[in-house]
Amino acid sequence: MKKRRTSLLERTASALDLPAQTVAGLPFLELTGDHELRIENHRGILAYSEEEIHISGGIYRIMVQGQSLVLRTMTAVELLITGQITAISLE
Amino acid sequence: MAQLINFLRGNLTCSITAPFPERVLNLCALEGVLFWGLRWESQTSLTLTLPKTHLTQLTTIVQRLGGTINHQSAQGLPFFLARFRNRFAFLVGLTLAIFAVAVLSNFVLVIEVTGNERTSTAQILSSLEQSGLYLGVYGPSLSLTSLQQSAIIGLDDVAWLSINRTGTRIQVLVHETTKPPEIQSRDGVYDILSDVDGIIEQIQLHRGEPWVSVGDTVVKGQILVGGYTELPAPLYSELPSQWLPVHASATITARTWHTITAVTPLNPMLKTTQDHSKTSYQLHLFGKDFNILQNTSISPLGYDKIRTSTQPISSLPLAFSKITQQQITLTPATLNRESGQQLLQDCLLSAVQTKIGDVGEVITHEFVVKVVGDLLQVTLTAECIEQIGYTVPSAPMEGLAQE
Repeated sequence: MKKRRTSLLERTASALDLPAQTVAGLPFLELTGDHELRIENHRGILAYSEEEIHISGGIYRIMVQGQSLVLRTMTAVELLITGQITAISLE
Repeated sequence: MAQLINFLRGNLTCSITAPFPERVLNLCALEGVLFWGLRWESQTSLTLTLPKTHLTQLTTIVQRLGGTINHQSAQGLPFFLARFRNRFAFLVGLTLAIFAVAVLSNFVLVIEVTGNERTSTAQILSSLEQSGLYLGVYGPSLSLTSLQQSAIIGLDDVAWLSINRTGTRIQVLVHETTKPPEIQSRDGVYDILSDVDGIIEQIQLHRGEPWVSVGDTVVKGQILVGGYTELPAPLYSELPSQWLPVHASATITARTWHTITAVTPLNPMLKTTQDHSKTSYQLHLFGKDFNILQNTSISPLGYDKIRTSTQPISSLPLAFSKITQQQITLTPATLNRESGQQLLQDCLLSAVQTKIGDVGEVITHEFVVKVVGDLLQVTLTAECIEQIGYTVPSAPMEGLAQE
């Protein structure tokens, strides 16, 4: 994976010890066990299937892999994925 | 809770076909279209569930992306009610029911009077009716405060009224005046006279001069206690005795005898019903009678009028009456002598007990039964213990009046 250059807002948040998802609008992922993933500050869905869901996180692409994946709910800032999650990767 | 909300607002399951279904989801998220139950059917189609109110927005989004939308199913209360929009009879019935509940429940159907003892309920209801409160009146038009004040005017024994309205029910709480205690007058000069013949058993003298003593036989109208009490002159004095005028008061118990006679015919006339009868019906609504189909006139001679009323709901001022005019004839019958005699004896004993009052007591009694003509005659002779005496103004004593 190519090393990504950190933005000014990210560096500011890091320097001031502030939450980056609030200051820089970075995606915030919350995984409960292996069956529920909550993502805040997403930018939309890029691809969807029961085995793999791709979500835009702005400067990242979040790839969720698993079985029987379901997009339970989705709003402008938040989405919830349930199913058997086996891997989460960033690109 | 979420299921209840979804049911109340109604939700739709839609199938969407678009070149890029992910874009549909992203636009839904951006424009605030709620959805759930997402199923990916193929690369270009998906199924989701959304609230009924968000359908227009979703349709716009799908059309903007060049897709199509199909409704698969609809659930919830709005869709359930929409099924009745063409059932006019149901809508009319529903409207009438709502009207009945909203409007008719404001009319007074029941007036309940409580707390009255000396003043009868009929008197109170009559006074309330004159003031404007009666069955069937429109409740919100009543001014309960002015009713309480105006209804009390004609009711002497009522101190205040409290009138409360709860829906169709009016509750009238009556508080009666407290009667002042009976004050025994000490003014004037009064004697106590015997009201029956008898033998004195006991005298409890409070005021006055006793004219009789225990064991004396007295007759009706005889003075028992005089209104002038003698004040003897001091010993060795030559002054005459003085008489003090008082209001005589005493409790005098005497042994008395009462004789009462009662008769009953040996061949009474009994009613025998005949075949001919006429039936009519009447509706009793809000205190008024309405004849149904035919007039319920006064019964002709030789007919009995029998009314049978039915009230479907006891709390409502609504009743049906069946009025039967039954032809009768009078035929002589033979009295059962033993039962007739027993009936007369019971009546006579009851009459004696009423005569001597609650304090009196029947000690011994005997009956004499005989037939006089076509009458059965029973005579009761009872020996009683009772209180006798009544108060009358005393005649002025000579000499005392001049002083």
